[in-house]
Amino acid sequence: MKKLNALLRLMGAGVLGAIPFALSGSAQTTTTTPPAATTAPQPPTSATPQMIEEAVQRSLARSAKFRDFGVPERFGSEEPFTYVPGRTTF
Amino acid sequence: MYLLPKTSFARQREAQKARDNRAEIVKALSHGQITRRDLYKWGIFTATGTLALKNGLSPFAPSAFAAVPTGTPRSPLFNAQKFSQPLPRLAVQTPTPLTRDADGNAAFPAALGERPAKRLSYHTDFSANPIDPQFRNPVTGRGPIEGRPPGELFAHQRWDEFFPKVGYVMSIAPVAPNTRFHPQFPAQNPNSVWCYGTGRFVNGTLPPPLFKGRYGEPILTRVYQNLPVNRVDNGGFGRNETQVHFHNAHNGAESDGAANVHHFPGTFYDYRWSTTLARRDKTNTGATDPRASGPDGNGGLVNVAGDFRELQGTMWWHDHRFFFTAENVYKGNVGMVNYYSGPDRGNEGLNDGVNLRLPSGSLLDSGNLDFDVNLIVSDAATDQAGQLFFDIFTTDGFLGDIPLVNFAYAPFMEVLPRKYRFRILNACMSRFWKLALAGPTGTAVPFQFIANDGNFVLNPLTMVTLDHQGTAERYDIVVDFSRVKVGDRVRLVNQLQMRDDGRGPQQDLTLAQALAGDPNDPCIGPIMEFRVVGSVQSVDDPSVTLLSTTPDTSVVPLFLTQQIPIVAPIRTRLVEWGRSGEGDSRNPVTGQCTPDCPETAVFPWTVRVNGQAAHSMNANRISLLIPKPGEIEHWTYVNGGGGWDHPIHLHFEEGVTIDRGGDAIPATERFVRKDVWRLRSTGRRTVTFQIQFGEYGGSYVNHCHNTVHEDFALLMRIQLLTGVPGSPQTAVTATPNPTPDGVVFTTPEILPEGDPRI
Repeated sequence: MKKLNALLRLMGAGVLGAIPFALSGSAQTTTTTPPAATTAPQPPTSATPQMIEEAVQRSLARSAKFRDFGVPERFGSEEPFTYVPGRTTF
Repeated sequence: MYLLPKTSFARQREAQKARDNRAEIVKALSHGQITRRDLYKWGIFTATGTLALKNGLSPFAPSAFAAVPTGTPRSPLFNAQKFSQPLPRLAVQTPTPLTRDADGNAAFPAALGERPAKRLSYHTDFSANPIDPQFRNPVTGRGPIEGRPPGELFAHQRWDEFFPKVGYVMSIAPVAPNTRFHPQFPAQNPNSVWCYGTGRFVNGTLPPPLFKGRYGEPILTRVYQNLPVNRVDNGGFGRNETQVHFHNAHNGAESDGAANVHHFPGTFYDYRWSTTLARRDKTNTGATDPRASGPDGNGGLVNVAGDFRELQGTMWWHDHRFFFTAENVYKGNVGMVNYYSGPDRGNEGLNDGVNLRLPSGSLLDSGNLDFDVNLIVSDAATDQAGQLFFDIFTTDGFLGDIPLVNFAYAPFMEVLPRKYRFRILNACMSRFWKLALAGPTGTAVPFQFIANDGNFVLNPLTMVTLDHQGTAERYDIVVDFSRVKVGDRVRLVNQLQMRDDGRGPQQDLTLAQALAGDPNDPCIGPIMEFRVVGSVQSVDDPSVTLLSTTPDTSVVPLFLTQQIPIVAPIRTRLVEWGRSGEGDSRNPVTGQCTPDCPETAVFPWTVRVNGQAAHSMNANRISLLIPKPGEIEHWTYVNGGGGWDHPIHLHFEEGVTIDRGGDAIPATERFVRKDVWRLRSTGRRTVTFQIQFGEYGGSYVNHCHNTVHEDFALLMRIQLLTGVPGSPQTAVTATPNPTPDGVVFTTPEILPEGDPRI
C-alpha cells in the first residue's frame, strides 16, 4: 500500500482513498437477458460476395492508414469508410 | 520491448520500477484496496481503458534517459547456457480401465477410491440434496462437488454409445517443489506455475502430461481443482477458476471446456472425451471402412463409424476460463493428446495395408514414442528472482524472452540417424514461430510436412522451413537424421522476428541471420539442439537400448489421406475480427461481464457478423447459430485491419481451407483441414473455408488464439443445434453461470444476423 501511494504521488493522482472493492467473482446473477426487441429489418443471415468485398476493402483501408500514417485502427470508433465496388488498391 | 543486456543501469532501473508499479497496481486491485474506477480517476487508465503512457508506469512510455520507450527488464538466465539440459519428454499418463456398474455409471477400480463417473453431473445430486455432504465441495464446504452444471443440458451426450472405457484422474494445482525451467534457474514458487499432476488433490508437475487416445476407446478425464481457495494467492497473475478445453476434439459441449463452465478449488469436473470420428451419422455409418478405426491393443483394429478423412492426430488441451485464458495457459494449464487410428497407429513395424507406418517405433502395439516426439514450444518471461512473470496490462500481445520446449529452457535431445516424427505445438500467448533445421555447417536440413493442426495433408511436402506457426497451431513433420552422421548436431531455429508490441510477425530472417541471433529477441535463433548419437534408451521400454545400426523400417507414404470435396454451400457467413465498435462485454447497468472479468479489463477487440454491429465477448450472447447437422457452409474470416495478425480458432469442427481472397495459399493448408487460421495483416487479410457440424450440440466458441486478444475479448459464442434428435442440444441451451455456490442459468441473447432460422 505504501508503494502504491508512492506511485500515485509519482502520477500526480492525489491521495489514495479507501474505496471498497466490488468482488466481481462472487457475483451471482439470476436475471435473464431477454432477446433484444427490435423493429429494424431482419439483417442478412447469409453473407453475399459484395458484403465480403466490402469487409476486405474496409480492412485494406485501415491497414493503408496504418501503413501511411502509422495510425492503427482506433478502439471505440467506426472510422469513415466508403465502399467502392471493384476497388482493389489502397 | 526487452532491454538489451548492455543497457545502462539507470534505464534498467527505470524499466524495473515501471514494472514494479504495474505489479503494485495489480496487487492493490486483487486485494480490494482500489477499484478500476480509481484508476480512471487518477489518470492511470485512459478513457479508452488502456494504461496511461506515463514514465514510471508503461513500458511504451518514453524513457527519461533516451529517445526510446522505457522497455521491460530482460529475464535473468542465471548463467544457464542453451543446450545444457536434456529435453524432458511429456509425461505419458497411464489409463485406468473403467467398468459399467449396475447403475450404468463408469466405475474406477475400487483401489483408487474414486466415485463413479455418471451421465448426469454430481451437481444434479447437489441441487436435489444441497445439505448432503457427499455432494458438497469438500474443501470449502460451499457449493457442489462437481463443476459440471446440473441436469440434462450438461449430461454427457450419447453416453451409452460412447461409454468411457478408460479414465484418468488429474489435478490442476500449484507446481511441486524444486520445479525449474533449467537446473540453474531458481525453483518456481508453488503459485508461479499452475499445472497438472497425476491423481486427486496432488501438486502439479512439469513437463506437461501426454495422453494416448485411441479411436473407439472413449476417455473419462476427471480433473480435480487443487488451486488456492484465496484468489489473491496467484503469484501476481492467473485466476483460480479453470475449465479444460480439449482443442479440437469432437466432443459434446459439456466436455468441450468452453461453455462458460469453469469450476472452483475443491471441486472436480468429469470430461468425457468420446474419440468420436466426425460424420459418424452420415458417412460409413456401418463402420465397414477399416481406415476408420482405432488400435485394439493387440495388433488389430476396432472399426468405428465416420469419415476416415476426418481422423485427427496431434491435439492438446488447455485452460479456457474466459477473460483469464492467457494467464492460466501461460501459467502451465496445458497438456497434449495424441489420437491413434488405423492409419496413424504409432507403430512403424506393423504392415496390414491400413497402417501408414509413420516413424514412431515398434515396441508397443500402438502409440510408440521412441521416434515420435511431442514438442510444446513456448516463450516465457521471469522477474529478477526468476519467477514466471506476466504483465496483465498488455492488450496487444505478450512476448516472452525465454524460449522453452516442453517447459525447459533451450534443451537438447539425442537422436539416432534415422527418421523421426515431431509434433510441434505453438503454446505461446502471442508469439508466432517460423522454424527450420540447421545442420552442422549452418545449411538447412530438409524435412517432410505431414499434418496441420492434427490433420494429414494429402501428400507429404518437402520443405526447408516451416510456414509461420501461430499460437495453437500444430505442425507434424518428419526429419531424417540419416542425412547427417553420428556426432553431428542439428538445431531447431526460429527465423521469425516479431513486432515487439506482440501484434504479429515483423520479418522473416534468413537461416544465417537467425543463427546469428538477435540481441533484441533471445527467442530468435536456435531454441533446441538434436545430437545424433549411436544409441539411445527407449522411452517405450526403458530396458531396451536402441541402436543406430538397427534398420529404419518407418515409411512416409506418398498418400496420407484423401481430399474432402468442396461443394456449393447451403449458406455463407462473414466474420470480421478487429477493433470496431465500443466493446460491450460489460453490462451497462451493473458493469459486470459474463462471466466476471478483471477489474482492469477493457475490450478493444470485437467481432462483427455479416457486416452488422460489432460485439465483444459475452458468454450470454450467441453470435452464430447452426440450425441443423450436416449442412455444408462456407465461412469467410476477414481481419478487421490496422496491423494485427490474428490466429483464429474454431472449436469442435475443422474447416477445409478454400481461398485466401486471391492471395497464394500455403501448400500446407490448401484444401487441408484446420482449426486455426492465421488472419494476416498483409495481403487480402481473409480466409474462406468449408465447414459442417454434426454428432453433438450445445454452446461452443470461436475466437482469436492470441490469448491476450481472446481475453480482451476477441471471442464469440456459437450455438450448435446439432445434437441427436430428442436431445436438449437440438434447441438453444441456457447459459450456465458458475458461482462457488453452484451454477445459475440465464437465457442467452441471439444476434439476428447469426440466426438463419429466422
